[in-house]
Amino acid sequence: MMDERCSEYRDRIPALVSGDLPADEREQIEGHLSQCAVCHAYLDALEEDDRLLEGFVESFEENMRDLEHRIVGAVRDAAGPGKVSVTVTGADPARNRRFRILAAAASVVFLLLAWQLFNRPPLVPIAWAEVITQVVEAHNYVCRVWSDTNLPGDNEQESVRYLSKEFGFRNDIYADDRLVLTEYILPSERAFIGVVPDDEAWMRIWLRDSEIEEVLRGSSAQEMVADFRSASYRELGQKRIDGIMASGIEVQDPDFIKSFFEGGWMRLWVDVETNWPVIMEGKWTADGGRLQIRFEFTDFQWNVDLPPEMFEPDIRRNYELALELDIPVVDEQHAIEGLRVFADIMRGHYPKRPVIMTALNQYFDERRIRSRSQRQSLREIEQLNRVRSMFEFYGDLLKEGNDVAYHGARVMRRDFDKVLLRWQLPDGNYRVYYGDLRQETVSPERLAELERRF
Amino acid sequence: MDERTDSQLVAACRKGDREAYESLVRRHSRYIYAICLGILGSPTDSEDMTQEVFVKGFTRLGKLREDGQFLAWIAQIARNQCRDFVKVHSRRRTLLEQQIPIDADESADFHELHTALARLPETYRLPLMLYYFDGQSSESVARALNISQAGACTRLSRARRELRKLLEKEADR
Repeated sequence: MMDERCSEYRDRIPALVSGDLPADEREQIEGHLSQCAVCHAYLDALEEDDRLLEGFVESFEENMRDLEHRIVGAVRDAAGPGKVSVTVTGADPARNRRFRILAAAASVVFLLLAWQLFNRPPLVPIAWAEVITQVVEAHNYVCRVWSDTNLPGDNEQESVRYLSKEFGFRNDIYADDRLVLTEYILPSERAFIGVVPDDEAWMRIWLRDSEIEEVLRGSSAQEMVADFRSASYRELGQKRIDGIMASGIEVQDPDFIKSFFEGGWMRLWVDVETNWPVIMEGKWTADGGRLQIRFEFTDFQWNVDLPPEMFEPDIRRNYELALELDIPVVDEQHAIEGLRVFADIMRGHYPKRPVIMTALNQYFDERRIRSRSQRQSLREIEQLNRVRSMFEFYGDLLKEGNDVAYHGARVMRRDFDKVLLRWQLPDGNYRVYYGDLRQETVSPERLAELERRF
Repeated sequence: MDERTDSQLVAACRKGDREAYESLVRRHSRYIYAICLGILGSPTDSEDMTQEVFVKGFTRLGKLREDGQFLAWIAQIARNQCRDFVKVHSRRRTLLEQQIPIDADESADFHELHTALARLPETYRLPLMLYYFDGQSSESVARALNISQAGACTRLSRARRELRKLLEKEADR
C-alpha cells in the first residue's frame, strides 16, 4: 500500500540503483522497501531498466568496432596525399548564385551519366529482390530530395523530383524555399534543360540517342534502388520513420559511384508492410573527404498521375539561352583533350584522382582563390563539360580490366618524363601518357622503369 | 593497446605520427559516440557524427592549445557539431525523433527502450548514455557535462525516473 512517504522515497530510489546514496539514507530506504510492495516493485523495475540499458549498450559493441575502423579510414583519407589547405581571399565566386546553379546543372549530368559507367552487380536471391522489382517496375514516381554539401556558403537544397518512364524527368530545386532551378531530361527533345527563373536564363545539353535512356535511368530513384542488388549490402534492422515501421539495408563504397565519388554509403529504408521505399539516404565523399555530400530521398509517391504538361520546360519568352553544350564524345582523343583543358584551367594541375567530384572540388578551390567574371565562369563550365570525357574513358578502361593506372595527384603538366596515365594494350605493351600529355607505347619493362621515377 | 598518455599521443600527432591519432580514436570513440547519441538520439546519425568529429579533430589539431586537454576539446567539438546538426535539421527534427532504430535480432528486447530513449529529453538522455557507454561512472558524467559529481548523480536519478515513466507509457500502449 502506498503512503505519503512513498513519493519522497521514490525520488531517491533511482540513486539507490546507481549506488549513489549515503549509508544512512540507503538503510532508511531499504527499511521502507521491506514494508512497501509498491515501492519494491518500482525498485525492481528500475533494476530491470538498468539491465536493459546495459544490454542495449552491449548490443552496440560490434557496431563500435566497425565504427572505429570507419573513423580510422576516414582520418587516413583526410590525411591522404595531395591534401592542401586553401586560403579563401577576395570574392567567393561559389557564392555567386548564377555560377553555382549553372555549375550544379552542368555537374548533374555528370552524375546521371556516371551512374551508368559500371555494369550492375548480379542479383542475389533475397527478399529485397521483390522490393527492388516492385520499384523498378513502377511507371512513374514523385519524391522529395534534400541535399547538403560542405562547400563554402549555404548549399542546402531541397527538390521535388518527377520521373515518368513515358515523358521524362523533372527536378524542381529550391534554396531558402525559393525555386532556383528546374531541370528536365526530355527524351522527345534528346536534351537536358536547366531553367533558372531568377536569372531569366536557361541552358541546354544535347544528349546522344544512345544516352537518353541511360540518363533517364540514371536519374531515377528506381535505378538507385536497383543498385542495392549488390551482394555486399548489410541489414540495418528496423526503425520507425514518421510512424511507419521500416526495414533497412546499407551499401558501402558501391562500385557504381567510383567514377563520380571516392567513397560513401547509401541506405534504403522500406515500409515493411507495403515494400515501398520510405527513405533513401546517403553520403558521398570526394577529394580525400574534403568534399562531402549528404542526401535524402523521402515522401515517395509511386504510380501517380503525371500529365505530359509537367515535363514541358517553363522557358519564358524573355529568357536567355545562357549555355548550350554537347555531351562530349568518350574516346581516347577526347579524354586527353579533357585532361589538357583541365590543366589549362588549373595552372598545370591534373585531377588528383580520376573521380569527377574530386576534379570539380579542385576546380571550386581554384575558383575561390581566383576572382573572374560571370561570363568566364560559363566558359569554364563549358570546358569542364569537355573534361568529363576523361572520367568516362577511364571508367571504360577499368571495366575492361586493362591494368590501368592514373597518377594525377603526383604529376603536373611540367613533368614531361613522368607517367600520368597508362593502360595495357591487347599485345601486352602499355599505352603511356606523360605529364605533358605526350603519348608513347612501351614494353612492361620500360613501364616499370618509368614508374620507378616517382 | 597504446600505453602512451593522451598528451604524448597528441604530441606524436603533431610530429606527423598518424597512428597516434588512431590510438586516440580507439581510446575515445565510445565516449564521443555516447555524447552524439545522447544529443542526437539516433544511433545511425551518431555513428556518422562520431566519424565527422574525429576527422574534424584531426584536421584542426593545430588549434588544440594544451595536449593534455584532448578529450575535453574533442568532446566540445562533438557537442558543437551535434547541436549544429540539430539546428540545421530542426525542420526535420520531428522525423528524426521518430527514427527509432531496432536491431534486427533484438527488436523484441529493445523496442520499448528505443522508443522511450528517443522521447527522453536530451538533458536526461545525454547523462544516461555517458553513464552506460563510459564505464558506469557518475564522475565521467560530471566531467562531460561540466557539473559536480553530486549534480551528475541527481541528473542520473532524474533521468532514470523519467525513463521509467516513458517505459510505463510504452507498456500501456
